[in-house]
Amino acid sequence: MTQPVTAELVRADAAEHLGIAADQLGPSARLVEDLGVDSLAGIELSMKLEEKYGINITDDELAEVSTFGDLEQLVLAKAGNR
Amino acid sequence: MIEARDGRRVVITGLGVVSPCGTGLGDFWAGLSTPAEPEVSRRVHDFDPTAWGIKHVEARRMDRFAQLGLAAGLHAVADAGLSADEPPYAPERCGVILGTGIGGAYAWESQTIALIEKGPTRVSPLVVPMVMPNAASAALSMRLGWAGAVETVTTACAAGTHAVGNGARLVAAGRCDAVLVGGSEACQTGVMTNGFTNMKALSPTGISRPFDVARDGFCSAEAGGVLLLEEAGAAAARGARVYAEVVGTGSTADAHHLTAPAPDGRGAMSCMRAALADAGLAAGDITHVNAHGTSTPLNDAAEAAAVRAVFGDTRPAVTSIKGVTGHSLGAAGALEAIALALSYLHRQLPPTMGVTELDRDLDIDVVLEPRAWEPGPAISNSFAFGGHNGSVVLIPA
Repeated sequence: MTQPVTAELVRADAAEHLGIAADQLGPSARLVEDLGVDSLAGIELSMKLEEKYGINITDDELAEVSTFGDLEQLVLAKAGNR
Repeated sequence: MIEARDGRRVVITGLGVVSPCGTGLGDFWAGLSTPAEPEVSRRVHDFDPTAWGIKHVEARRMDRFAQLGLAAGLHAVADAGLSADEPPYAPERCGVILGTGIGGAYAWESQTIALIEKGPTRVSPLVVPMVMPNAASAALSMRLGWAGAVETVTTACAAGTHAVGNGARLVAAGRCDAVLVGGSEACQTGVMTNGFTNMKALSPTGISRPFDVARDGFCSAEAGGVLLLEEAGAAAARGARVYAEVVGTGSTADAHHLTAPAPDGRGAMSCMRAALADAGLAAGDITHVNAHGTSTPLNDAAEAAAVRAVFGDTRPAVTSIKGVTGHSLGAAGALEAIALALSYLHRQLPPTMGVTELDRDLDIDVVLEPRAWEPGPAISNSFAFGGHNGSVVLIPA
C-alpha cells in the first residue's frame, strides 16, 4: 500500500462502511451503544478494514474493542507493524 | 374456504410490485400490454433500494431478493393506505408469508468465490442471514413491526401462489387479521443462469411466448410482488379499498418428475379442482384463468390440457403475463395475483404478449389483446419444479 494509514483514513473508511458521518466517529463513541454497530456489524467492519489495510485482527483482539477509538488504535498499530 | 371461521372473509386491500415490466401499479399494468425486448434474463434495471427507504448499510446486509421483497411489501402497505410505522392491528395478528425459489444467490456465489480466492477468514459473517430464503419475510416483519406468523414458502415457481394461499388461510382461520403475502426472486447469477441454460429450460431466442407454436423455453426474471390480505370486516371498518376477495386455495403435487410436469396435466387439474371446491364454486363459474404459462413446450401443453379437462365447454379466457414479466420463479405467482387483482380494478384482462402464432392444438381461449372483462370468479395458477401445484380463486369485491 502506497498511501500511509492514518486515523483520518480509518475514520473515513469506517464512516462510509457504516453509513454515518465521519464526525460521529469520535474516539469515545461506543460501537454498540452509541453507533448501533452490533456484533455482526463489528465483525463485518473489522474484516473490511483488515482487507483494506492488509492486516489481521484476531477474535481476541476484536473482543477487547468497545469504542471507535479502540478500533482505530488497533488498526493503526497493526498497519504500522506490518 | 375450509378454514373460514365465524364468517370471516379475506380481501385484498394493497398491492406492491417491482418487476422488469414496471415498478409501481400504473407502470406494471401498462407494462403488461407493452411488448418486451427479447431478453432471456430480465432484470429490474432501475431498482434503487434507497428510493424505498432502505438505507445503504441495510441494503448491503440484504441479498437482492430480500431488497425486492421488502420494497414490494412497503409498496403494498402504502397502497393500502397504511403507515409503515404502526401495525394496523395488534402486532401479533399481523403476519408476513413470502415465497422464494432460491434465496440469496448473489451472496452464496460471491462468498464461495471469496472462500476460494481469499481464504476462510474472508467469508462474510453476514453470508448466512443473506443467503437464507426467509430473509425477505424477516426484513419486512422487522421493518414494519409485524410480529404474528412470519414464514417463508419455498416451493420453487409455485411459492408465490402458495404464499397467497397460506396467508389467506391464516386470515380465514382467525389466526391473523392482516397478512402480507407474495414473493420475491433475484438469482440472475452465473451459476443459476447457466444451470437453467444447461438444463434447456431457458428460451434460446430470449422471447417469452406462452402458448405459441414456437415457444422454446422461459425467460428468467427477478421481481418482487406483495399483496396485503385483510379480514373483510376489519378492512371495511377502516374504510379500506378492496381489489378482490380470496375465496379458495389449492395445493397439490404431481408426484411425477423433478422438473417435468405430468404430461396429462393431472396435478394441475387436481389443484384447480381443489381450489374450486374450497371456494364452493363450479368449474362453469370461472370466467378467467391467469395461467402459469411459462412458454416452455411441456408446461403450456400440460396446463392447457388441464384447463380443457377442468373447464370443458366453459372455455374461460386464459392469460399468461410471462410474455412480458418473464418467469420470476418464487415471485411469479405473486405478480400474477397482482395482475389479476388489477384486472378486477380495470375490468380488463391483460393480453398474453409475445405470441406470434398461437398453438391451436392447445384448444384454449388465449387472450391476445387487452380484453374488456365483466369481473367474475377467476383462478390463478402456478406449477413448479418438484411437481408442486398452487391455485387461488378470487371473486369480485
